[in-house]
Amino acid sequence: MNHTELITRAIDGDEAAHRSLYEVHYAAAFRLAYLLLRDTRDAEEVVQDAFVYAFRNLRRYDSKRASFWTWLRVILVSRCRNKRRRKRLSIVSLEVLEAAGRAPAAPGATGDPARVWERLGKRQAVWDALQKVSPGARDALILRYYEGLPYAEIAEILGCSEAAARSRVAHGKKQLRRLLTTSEETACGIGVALALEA
Amino acid sequence: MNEKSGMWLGHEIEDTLATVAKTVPVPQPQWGAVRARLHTGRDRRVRRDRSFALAAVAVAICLTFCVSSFLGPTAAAQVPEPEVLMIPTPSPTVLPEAQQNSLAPLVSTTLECCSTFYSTPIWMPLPAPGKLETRMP
Repeated sequence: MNHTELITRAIDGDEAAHRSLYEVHYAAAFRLAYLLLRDTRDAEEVVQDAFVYAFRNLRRYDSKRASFWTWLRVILVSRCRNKRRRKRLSIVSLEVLEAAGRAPAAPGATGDPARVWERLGKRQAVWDALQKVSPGARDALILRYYEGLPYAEIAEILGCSEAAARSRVAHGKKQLRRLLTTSEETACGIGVALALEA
Repeated sequence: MNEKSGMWLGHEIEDTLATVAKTVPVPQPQWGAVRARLHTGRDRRVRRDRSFALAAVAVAICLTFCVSSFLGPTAAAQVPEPEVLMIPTPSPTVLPEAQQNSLAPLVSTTLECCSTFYSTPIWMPLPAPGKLETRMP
């Protein structure tokens, strides 16, 4: 059974089709929700909410306009933003993580940027810095760099103009760069990386 | 340099997000929970529709009663009460045997009585308008 047929059957209320759609898109939906919320339980809850809403309103979905995933993603991002608004997430500060990472370090290692970078983990540092970026900009960054969406689609999902979406991404990157360079230890890594890039 | 660092940062974000998404353990999809919620919603909708229908019927019945009890006295007040006409039932008269045999004179007396009642001729001319009595306030 192809995807279009699956959706047609789901619109007609076929439970097996609902289940298939759910199983096909669950993992992708969960991963995106997790990136936006940074909490597995919240992500699970929001994904469930999004699917329930989507199945209840399946008649509103127009397959000519967009794919089911595109439609579901709009619902999902909107639900994630609502969830975040309701619940102030406890974000572990970068300083706490840095302090935790610094403790077991050998005294001589702090001066070596390559070692520091390796120990902290480049991706961990970027991920931690991403948590400190403002929510609007972070959502835009995730949609742009994880989902690989064009600005027009990001604008549609976030409910803003294309220019605003572009500006949010740029602003997010600016914040991220500042966060990464101001941190004492990451500054070494980023500094080296930026110097190498230049 | 700015453009290059921007590109570099973009790649870093891309890599980081992809790694995090890949490493996060995805829980098993719980279709049962979604199904239960879908059914609960459907049942709730059916129950709500039913209660709406029942409420509408109850309101209609109440309105019917209220309107009739309100309009009843008003209508009764507006419609004049019909006068009850008492029609005397003819009492059966038992004539004595002597009279039963002589009905004719009895009838004739009745006619006489009637003739005496119409003593004034009905064609008597009415008085002229000028001669009518007028009462001033």
